Amino acid sequence: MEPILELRHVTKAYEGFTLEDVSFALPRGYIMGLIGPNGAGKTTIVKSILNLVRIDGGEIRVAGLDHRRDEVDVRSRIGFVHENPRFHDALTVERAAAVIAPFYPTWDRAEFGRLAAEFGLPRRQRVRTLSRGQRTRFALAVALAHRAELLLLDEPSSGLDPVFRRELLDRLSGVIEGGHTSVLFSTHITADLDRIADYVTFVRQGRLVFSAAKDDVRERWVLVKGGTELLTDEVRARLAGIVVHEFGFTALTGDLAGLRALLAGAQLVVEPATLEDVLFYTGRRAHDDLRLYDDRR
Amino acid sequence: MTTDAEGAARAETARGVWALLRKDLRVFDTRDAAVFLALYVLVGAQVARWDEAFFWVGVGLAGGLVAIVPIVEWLLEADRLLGSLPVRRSTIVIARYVSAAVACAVAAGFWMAGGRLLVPLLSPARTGPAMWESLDGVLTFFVVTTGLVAIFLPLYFRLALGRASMAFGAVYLALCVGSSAIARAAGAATAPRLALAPPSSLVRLGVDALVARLGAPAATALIVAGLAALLSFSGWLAVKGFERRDL
Repeated sequence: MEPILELRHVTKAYEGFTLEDVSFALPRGYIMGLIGPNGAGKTTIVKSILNLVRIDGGEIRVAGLDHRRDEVDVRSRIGFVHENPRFHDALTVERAAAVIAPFYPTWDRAEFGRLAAEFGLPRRQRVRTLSRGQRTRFALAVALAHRAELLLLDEPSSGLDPVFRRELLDRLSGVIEGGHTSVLFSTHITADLDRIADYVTFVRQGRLVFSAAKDDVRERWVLVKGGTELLTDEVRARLAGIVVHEFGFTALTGDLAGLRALLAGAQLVVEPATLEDVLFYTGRRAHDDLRLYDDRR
Repeated sequence: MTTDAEGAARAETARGVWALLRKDLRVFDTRDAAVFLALYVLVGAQVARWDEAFFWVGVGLAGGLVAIVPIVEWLLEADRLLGSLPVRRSTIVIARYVSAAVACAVAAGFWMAGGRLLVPLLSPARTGPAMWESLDGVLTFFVVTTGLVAIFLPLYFRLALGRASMAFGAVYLALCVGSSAIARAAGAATAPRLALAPPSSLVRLGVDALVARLGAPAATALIVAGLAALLSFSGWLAVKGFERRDL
């Protein structure tokens, strides 16, 4: 089946930042987390999909359609929820929705009414008086009311209180149940992805680190701990983001079998890695140990 | 003959323009309209006895009506919302030009109606034909407002409102200095070296000459065609600029 979203060799250069050769695909009916540290290029990817920024090279397809040539069709299939959703603030919730509705042939007024009630949105209240969480709910209601096939969420949970964050994540899990809608969820809060993502795409400094099923990521990456005497160049080559502490080192590896073969007989502790571990350890420069103690004392 | 694809594209553009105009109407609410009207009457009443100044108050009203929605959306940082809607950027540009044309027509209406109602009330002693009552005066109004719109909108779409306002300010200043210099060179010794506005009398002289040479209907048709061509070129520039801009 054709993926709902496919990026092939996408590049975009700004002054001081380049998104370089990014490729990944999101199958229909799944949630993909787009993770990476601040400034990694997540927002640029989301904006590129919407053609808010012009890519310099590569190709983006949504539901098999070219994101530039078929931009109207593509955007009518996308629901966009921004980190800080902006609407016409002086309007009431109802009128702000009425401003957006005519742009979408698939707009379902009854569905918006139902979602507004379900999300507890005061329909006669002005948008400017809504809280941050209410604005995000409103943006989500708008995205769902036009029956978007692809929800693009750009850091929607940052700055939200834990209760609404949890509610938002549960809601997203519910959205994909019918298989009609897929979600690309950009965030740097990896705990959110541990909860709901099926796929994880990790970008750092404008480059793709990996894009894979979350379970594969968990299986592939593990944390290893051992004594610092084990840190030969060959071992270091198989480790990412080495942290040296008083009693040894902790690092991430995607090649446990190779490491075990190299360190046969040595005492090595292996622990499962969370997405946060993967983000933390792979986000650091190779051969640049983080020392958590002063060994000159 | 148009193909099905061209017909569908036109229908899509028309639907998008209509949706954008409805958006503008909702964003520009009755309170904004009341503020504009009150300001217009207040300022217009102060300058009703001077044709030139009253003319520029009308042009100012047109400018305000053209810019109000872009200003509101700029303050709200709504560019991204607009850009994420299922409309082409060229459709957004077309809609903005249509709403600007409507704004200029509405401002012309207020200028003419204001001239008829306000001026006799506030300046009963004035004599001579009023600018807003003559064809060349009205054409001058449209030439000036259309010219300013044709300069402003491409800057707005390429640079966004903040930087576009500065660039437009520089162009406007150059027009003031340049047209004052032309007026002085043409023998109008009383023309100030730096007018607050380019003297509309210069444009009016040109319009007058055209009407005298071609007759009113042909001159009007020629001016309307010229303005349409100017707006088309300006719109083309605006589309090119907007398509290159990252939102």
